Order: sequence, then structure tokens, then C-alpha cells
Amino acid sequence: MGAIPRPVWLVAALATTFLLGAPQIAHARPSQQVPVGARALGMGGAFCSIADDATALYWNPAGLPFIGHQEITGSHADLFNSGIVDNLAAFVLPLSPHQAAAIDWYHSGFQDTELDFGENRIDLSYGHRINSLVSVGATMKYLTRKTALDGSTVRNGGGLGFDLGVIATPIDRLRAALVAQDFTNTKVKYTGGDGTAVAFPRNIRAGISYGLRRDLTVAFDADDRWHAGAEYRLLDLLSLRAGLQNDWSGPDGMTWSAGLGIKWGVLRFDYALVDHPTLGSTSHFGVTLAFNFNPSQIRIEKVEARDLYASLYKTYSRDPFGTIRIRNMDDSPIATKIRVFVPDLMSVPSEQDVILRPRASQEVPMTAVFSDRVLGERGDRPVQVQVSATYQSRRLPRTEKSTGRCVTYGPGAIDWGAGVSQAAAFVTTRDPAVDAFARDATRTAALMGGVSASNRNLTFTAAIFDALSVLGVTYVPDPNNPYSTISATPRAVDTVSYPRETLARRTGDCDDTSVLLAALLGNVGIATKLVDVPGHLFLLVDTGIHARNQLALGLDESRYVVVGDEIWIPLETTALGKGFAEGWRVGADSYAAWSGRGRLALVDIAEASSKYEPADLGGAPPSIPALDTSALEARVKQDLATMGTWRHDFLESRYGEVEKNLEATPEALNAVARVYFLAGKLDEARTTLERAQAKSPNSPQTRNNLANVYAAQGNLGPAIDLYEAAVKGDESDAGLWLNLGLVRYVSGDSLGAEEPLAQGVTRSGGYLEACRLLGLAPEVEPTREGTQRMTAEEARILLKAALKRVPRPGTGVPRKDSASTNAVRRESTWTSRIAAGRSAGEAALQDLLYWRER
Amino acid sequence: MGCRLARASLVLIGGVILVASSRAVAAEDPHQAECDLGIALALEGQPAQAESVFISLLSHSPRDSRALTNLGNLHLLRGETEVALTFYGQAGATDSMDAGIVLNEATALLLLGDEEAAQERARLGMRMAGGALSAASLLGLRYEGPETEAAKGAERTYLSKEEVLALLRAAAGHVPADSAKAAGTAGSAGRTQLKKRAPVWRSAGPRASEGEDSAALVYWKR
Repeated sequence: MGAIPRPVWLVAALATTFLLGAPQIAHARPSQQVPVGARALGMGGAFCSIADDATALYWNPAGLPFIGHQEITGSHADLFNSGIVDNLAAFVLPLSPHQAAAIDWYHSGFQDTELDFGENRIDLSYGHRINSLVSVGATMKYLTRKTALDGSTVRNGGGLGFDLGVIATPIDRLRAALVAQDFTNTKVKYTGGDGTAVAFPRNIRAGISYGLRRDLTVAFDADDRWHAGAEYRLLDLLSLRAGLQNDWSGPDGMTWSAGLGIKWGVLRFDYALVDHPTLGSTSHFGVTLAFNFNPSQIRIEKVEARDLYASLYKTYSRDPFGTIRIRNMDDSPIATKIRVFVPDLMSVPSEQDVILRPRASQEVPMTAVFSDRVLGERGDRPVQVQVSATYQSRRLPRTEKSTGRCVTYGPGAIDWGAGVSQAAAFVTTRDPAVDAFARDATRTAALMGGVSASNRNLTFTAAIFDALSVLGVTYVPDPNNPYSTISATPRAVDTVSYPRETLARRTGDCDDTSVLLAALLGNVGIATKLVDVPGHLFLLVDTGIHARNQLALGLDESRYVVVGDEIWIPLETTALGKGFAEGWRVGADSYAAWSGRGRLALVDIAEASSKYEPADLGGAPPSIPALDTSALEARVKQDLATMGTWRHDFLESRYGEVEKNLEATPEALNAVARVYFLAGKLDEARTTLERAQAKSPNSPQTRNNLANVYAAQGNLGPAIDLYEAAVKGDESDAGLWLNLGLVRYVSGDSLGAEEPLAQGVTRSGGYLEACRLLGLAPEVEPTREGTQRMTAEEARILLKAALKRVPRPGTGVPRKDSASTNAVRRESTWTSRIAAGRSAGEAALQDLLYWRER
Repeated sequence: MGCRLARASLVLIGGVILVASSRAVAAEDPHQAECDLGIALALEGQPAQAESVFISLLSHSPRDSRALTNLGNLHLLRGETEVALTFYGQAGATDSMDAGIVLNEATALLLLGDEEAAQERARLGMRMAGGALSAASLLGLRYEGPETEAAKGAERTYLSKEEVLALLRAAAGHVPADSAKAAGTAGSAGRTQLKKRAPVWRSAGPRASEGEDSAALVYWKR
């Protein structure tokens, strides 16, 4: 079983505790403590899991470490307009980043001309955040109660009580809490023999809260009642709250509450109205002073943000869109966490850790992770960039804040001043609209019959280019901001359409259509480059052909470009509608013209995309009409035919003379046939030699070699006839005689073999030379006359026997066997490797035959 | 002024040398156009016409290693690997210094399933070429993706670029470290110096660069 992640485990445990505990909580004795704090009460008392202000002493002391600064708070209420006043003063002091202590004084009382009742309570709390998941806290309270009637004390007493609390943060923005208030049943011991009474019975409270958004929190608490509430914060200045609570069961109706908080510098004012169904409503007022006595050690001197372009939002997570200048005024380095947040454009602040050098000011690049909703921006508007720097100031964390301003531009806007590479951010290869269109176009080309194009890249490019024409996509210069003008104007903002937009609109200027075509081609794996020339953009398309194989195109060098080791073709989208071939022609002309002037730059889309990552466009892609495949087929065929014409013209102009002088000489055909023969392709060898024979019927070379093929195929009769004819044609060639002898022998005519073999040995110059002619090493073995097969050894014996009939030079006496042990080796080539299987032991006849090369 | 004059003179001299050398090349090799035509036809997918041209080249220039190599390539593309090997053998016998012919043999042997012999030839070819990069360039290759297993088992007519690259990489790992030519690849088995392309996302639909036949993967001798 795999390990369960700790946060998940913790959430499950807390949820189980909460659910199992709710019934017990529901049946607990009612709490008799009066809840405090205008903020908490505005949320219906659903606050024990939030508890991040000075009222945490009451709600949950485990919340104290979350406060992070010193805080003084005071509150006042006239409960139900009954004259019972309720006052609180509290102070929180963080002891370290993970610990905090707090004290408060609470008073509740009623006073009129006869009755004077008062309750005072002092609470001392401590909270400790054990780790990022769990925080715990405890409160010790001392309670006094006094009742007087007509100025005389009737009852007076005091007692101690304790609270315990825990908060868990299993996942970001989720908190769960459990609090045991007065878990020892806080008692009051009265003086004067009035005994002891339970003032506050034990109360178990569980709660959970979740930040739905950064500015919206919802919470739920359960004790003897249930409590639900929500708080919405607007720009950290204004908070709106609402809540409701009720008994789990009972006659009372729902208690509604609402409240608001206003933050003004270090001060916060809170108000809550709690409307009890039977007792009436109560107004709670609160004021809080949040401060930090630690002197600031760093200062954010300047926040400088450049304009933000929604289309480049992914880029800003790596490439800074501004700088933050921060000064460290201390004598030691300070580790600082810098947060950058742009409201509305980001879900959470982006954080980075930097070490600030002592007594120095340094520039920190400003990066940010923007959410996809930035693509929902329309037009341009100024935005505030919020920057905070949090660091450890002596014992406590401290945060410095600053803001900057910039302008954010909606999707499509771009400043070409930062380079044409930015266009890669618009090449949305993965867009479903692009994917569907590219697939339709290339599928049509792939299934198209009657077309043979050797280069798939070119065929698919033609298909996609023509598909755009069929759809009706045309080049139309932007009347308001023509690229030629805007690209030359510093800091001018242009608009580029995403490919899906151009497909839907069916018009675009050079940047729109180039981006569209690059995306479609990229979708089918064809690389592109943008060609940046003054006032214009067009494309280079990868043919996938290595520069070494440029002849594969069969086109004039002016029609293509070698970049790196590859062949690219220029493609001009201004010719959309005129066909791929025309787009290519115009592109090649433009490229040549600008290249000649040295005013041309290339931007590789794949490389640029790694920096300017294309956006993930959400939402449903626009509806694009289905392609008219028959029209597309017709266009592609026309373009491929045009390319064929170019190719023909080129080959004609460059190689026309060569083509006129092509020939196949018998010698060349014999050479080719020999390769077939050695590779065992006897039919091909025969066909080739028959061609040679047709050209030169009496050639001894062709006759001999063709006879070899016949012999190898077992047609010994025709072979012998051809050898005999060959010998007649050239009696001086010993090899022809040897072949004739060998084949006669193999056919069973050993007597008829003797003469030609003897002739062969004689004319070759001896036994060794004869062996060499046949590629043999001289050795001895028995014979197998007439078996239609022959081993190398048999051939040697035959040659030796033939040698005995050859007179010694000058004497007329036949010579003795003078076999040498010197091995005669064939040339070591792959050819001989292939033949090796046949030349050993069970060699076929064909391995012994002499092949005439000239 | 003097500087301009010197520059102009240099350009003029360079031009003269260029023209002279090109003429010299043309004079030395009257059959180059014939060879180029054959390659153009072969790469365009007209093997029969290409074969005629190469046979013509062989007619005009007997035992021409270009004709023999390229005829071998044509047979390799037809799936007649043994015939191709025989042509390469003949070509290699004529021009034993050409690394491209040896690499073609390696490719053919790989297609035959003789991986061991293929690696041996590829190793030799790479050493003769001066390293993996030069060898890849001879074959018209560029690095595009991860390695795949080299060809094994039965004969095939299809060979991916990755397989040839894997072959070349494996061969590179066996090039002696003290080989001056192989310095770029010494001790770098599986770590070639080949240029790696940025990854490009592609759809699951038809892809232009997929299923490429071996036409562009063999060495066409010019």
C-alpha cells in the first residue's frame, strides 16, 4: 500500500473528528461565556479556526502565532440594548516567528439604581506554531464576580479556568480547529460561605474555514450551536462580513449577523450587528491597533514595472517585467522573501528569496506567475503592482510594502521593439482549432491519389497553404496600424491575432498570417523560421532535406536557402489565395532581394518558443467551416504540377545535355551484371547481360558472362554453346577455355573437357595462374565427375590433369604437377563475404567460373 | 584609399581563384553533371531513371565509385540489400578512402540484421570520416530525438534516422581515445556532439517528418 500524503491524512482525521464530535458537541451543556469581538461576531461566531486577531484569547489561543505583529484591541457592546455592557481590551505580543503571548481584560456588567452586577476576567494566553501544519495554544483565566444590591455586596467570588486549542492547516487556505473552553469547568468560589458554583461549564468547539479566493473566506463552527459565516475583503481596506447561528435543536429561531471592517493605516475599525430572534439586536464596536515596534532594516526604494502584455504572460515567470530596488540598512546580510502581486491578474503572489547585501541597494528582477485569466483582459488599463519584502527583524517577521504602476495590454497586443521573437508567443501549435485544421489539410494531401511528391514537408506545406486559400484566408494589411509603419515605430503597440482568430476572421496582415501558417505547420512537425525584413515578415519552411542532399529538390539554388545544414524554402503569406507555388516564388524573390541588401534576420520559431511560450487559449475554439477537400485536392495538384515544371525546367537547363548523351555500354552492363551475379541475383544478371548482348551480339565478354549465368542456373547446354562462341571470338583468353572445360566436365563430358582445360592452363601461363583466374587455391581432393556439381578441389584436380597434357616450354614434353601451396585469395570485399557460403566445400559452379571484365 | 585598393585586389584575386578552381574541377571531372542528375532523380523518387544515369556514368567512366555507390543506394532503397552491399564492395574496392561508402555498408548490414558487423563498419566509417558529426553529415543526418534500439532480427527495408544515429553513437563509443580525428567523440559512448533540436510539439495526426524512407539516410557519392 502506498503511503498516504500527510496533509490528506490530517484532513481525513480532522474531518472524522469533526463529524464524530458534532453530536456530542450538540448535546453539551450550553456555553455561558459571552462571545467577544466585532469581527468574529459579524461572522456569526464561526471564528475558532480563523482566530488571527487579538480576540484569539477567547476563540482559540492556537491562532495567536498567525497574527505576526503586536496588536491592541478594544471592543464594546450593549447586549440586546438591555444595559448589560460588555467590554474587552487585549494585547498580543509575538515572541518569535512561531510563538506569541497575549493578555486581555474582559468586563461584563449591569448597573442601575438598585442592582449592580459585574464580572471581570483576565486571560493569559500562549500560542505555538509547531510546524507548518499544526499550531497549539492555551489560555489561563481568572474570573471574578460581584453582585451588589442597594450598595451592599450580596455575593463576591473568583476562580481559575483553562482553555486549550489546536489549529491544523493541512492544505493551503484550509484550516480546521478544535477548542476546549473551560475544560476544567471554570468555577467561582464565593466568599462568606456561599459555596462554589460552576461559572463556565466545559464547552467543546470545532471549526473549519477555507479561503475560497484570496479575498473571500468562509467558516463553520460547531459547539452547542452551529455557526456559519463569511468575510469578503476589498483591497485590504474594507471587509464585509455576514453570519448566522442557531441551536442544533430548540425553540429559538436563527440569529443573523452582519458586519464590516475598515482599515486605515495601522488602525482597524470593526462593527457587527447581531440580531437575536427574541432578545433583540446588539451592536458590537471594536478598534484595533496593529503595529510593530521593531525598526525597519530594509527599504523598498523603487518598484519599476514595464508594461505587461497579456499574450506574453507565460514569459514573465522567467523573464522579468521590471525591477525592485531594495536597500539593506543593516550591517549584516538579510534573507528576504519578496512577493509580487498584481490584483486581478494573479491568483496568488509570486515569491522569490533573495539575500540582501549589507548596507547596499540592489536591484531584484521582478518576475510573476500570471494566471490564465489574464487572457480575459480587454484593451489596456493601468494596474497596480504590489510588492512586499518579508524578513526576520530581530525576533519577529516584518514586512515592507510598496507599489508600482504599469499598463497592462490585452491579448494580441505586442511591442515589436522587444524583438520579432515575441511572435512565437502567438504560434499556438496546440490550439484545438489549429490542430483540427492542420489535420484536415494534411489528411487530404496524404490520401490524395495520383500525386507523387518525394518530399512530405513540401506536400504538407502545400496542402496547408492551399487549405487556407480554400477556406478564404487572405492577406489584408492592417488599415490602422500597418506592420510596415508600426514595426518601425519605437514603443508602438501592434496587435497580432491568434491563429484561431485569423482562421475565424479569414483575414490578417503579414504577422497574423505568418503566425497562423507557422502554427499549422508546427502542428504537423514542420519547423519554421520568421524572416524579419524592414516593414515585413514572412516565413522559411524546413524541407527536412540536409544540405548535402540538396539535389533532392532538383531546383535552382535561388528557390531555397541553406541555413545550418538544412534546406529551407521561403514562403510569402501575402500570396495566400494565389497558391503555394506562387507563395514560394514570391518568398524566394523577397528573400533574395533582402538578403542581397543585408537587411534580413531570421527567428527560429522553436527556439523563440522556449522563451516566448505560446498561451494556452481557453474556451471553445471558434467554429471553422469544413474544408472543401475536392477544391483543396485540385489546388494541391496544381501546385505540385507547377513544382514539377520548375523541376523539369531546372533539370532540363542544367542536365539537358547530359540526358541527351546517356548511354549504357555493354561493358557497363557487364559490370552491373557481375554485381547481380555475385549477389546471387541470377535472373537480374541474365536480363542485364541480354541487354548488353543486344547492343553487342558477338562480344566474347558478354557471351562468356552470360554463359556463366546460364551455368549457374543449371542451363549447361546453352552455357556450353555460348562459351564455344566466346572462345571462337577470342581464342587468346585462357579464362574462356577454362570455363568451357569446367562446364563440359560438370555436364559429364570429361573427355571434351580435357582439351579446353589444357588450352586454358597453357594460355594462362600455368597451373597457378589458371587457379588464380578461377579464384582457386591449389590443393588435392577426389572427383565427382558428371554430378552437375563441382568442388574447388575437383577443379584443381582437373587443372592438374590438364597441366599434364601441357608440353614444357621448348621440349614438347608434358610437365609434372607443380602445384604450389601458396594460397590465392580473392579480394576481400563484402562481395566475397556473401559468396563465402557458396565457395567453401559445397561450392556452386558459379563460384569457380571466370568472369571477363572487359 | 590604399586599404580599399588592397581589399578590391583581394576580392579580385579571390574571384579569379574561384573561377579557375571551378573550371579546374569541371575539367578534372567531366561526368559530375551526370552523377548529379542521377542523384537528383534518385532523391526525387525516380529510381529507374536514376539507374539509367548511373549506368551511363559507368559507361563513360568504368569502375566509377560514384556510380557504383549510388547504384548500391538504389538497390538498398528497393530492399535488395545484398545487391547493395555488393555494389558498395565494388565501390569500396575502387575508392577505399571514402568513409561514406563504409557508412552505407553499415546501414545495409543493419538492415540485414547483422548488428555486430554493422557496428564494426560504422565504427570504421566514423573513424575515417573524422567523428560522429562528420559521419552524420555524410549521411545527411541531424539529431532529432532519443535513441531507439538498433535494428535487430529480420531484414527490413525501413530504417529510422534514430537507428542510424544509435548505430553511430554505439560506434563512436568504440573509437579509440587516442585517435586524433575522433577526439570529439572519444570516451563519449552514447553522448554525441550532435546538435540537438529544441523539442517541437506535434499533433497525433499526420506528421511530415515521420516515416521517412532511407533515401535521405544513405550517402550519395558526388
